[in-house]
Amino acid sequence: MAILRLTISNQLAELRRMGFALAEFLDDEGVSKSTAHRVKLVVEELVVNVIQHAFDDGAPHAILLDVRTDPQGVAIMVEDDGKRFDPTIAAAPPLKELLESGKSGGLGVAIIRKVTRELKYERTDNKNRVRAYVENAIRPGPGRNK
Amino acid sequence: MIELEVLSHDSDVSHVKLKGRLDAVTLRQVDIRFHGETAARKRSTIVDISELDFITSLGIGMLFGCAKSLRRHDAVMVLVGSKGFVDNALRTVGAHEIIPFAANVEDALRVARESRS
Repeated sequence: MAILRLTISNQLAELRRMGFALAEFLDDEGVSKSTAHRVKLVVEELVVNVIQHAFDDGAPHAILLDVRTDPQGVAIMVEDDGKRFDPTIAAAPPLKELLESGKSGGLGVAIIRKVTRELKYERTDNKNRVRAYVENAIRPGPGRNK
Repeated sequence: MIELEVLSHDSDVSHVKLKGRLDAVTLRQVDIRFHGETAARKRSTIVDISELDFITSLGIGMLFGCAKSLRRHDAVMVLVGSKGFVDNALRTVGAHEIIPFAANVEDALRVARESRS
């Protein structure tokens, strides 16, 4: 198991640094492009949600990203000390309704739920911890892609 | 990095192309211009996304906001060249049920022009 732990501040400008570190880590670990893409998507949706909605005091806050690979997939943990937000129970309006509204609110949660195999939330010590698991894409076995 | 290229603005159909990443950072660089080149023109618009490498919910929201605005003016947005991871992301949220996807520009033009007939 390999681990990436990264702390960023609650600024959108930090997303680039996070993105580069995550991409390099997944590449170094030999994670397939398909799985890596879904991991990047989930991480970005989770972290952007924290940056945009978790804080309203205008102060700097730390967001911890922990990513771990295993033979079956990639485990993601995002921790912040912002407002309570549980994406496992957050309202996600029907996708068609969201899209027709022309707004993206709730779309990120919907994407995360669709892309992850597991999504868990806990709040302890006034911190949100969201854990998501992205399973490896199934590769065609011998004889299946003839 | 995101690029918005205007390929043509005909009298009835606009044709633009998005290249690169459409995420929380790049959205701020492109959304006002994208709206200006699509929804604000009130004409059906073909959006070539064949060179779009990454899209998040905020980027999808931009596309749907403009598509909705165009519909109010009896115009449509048609996506062309959707493939790979971007296509997966769009289909994951059911985008194809709301915005027409076309395999090529000719099909996209037909869909765009039929919307006005």
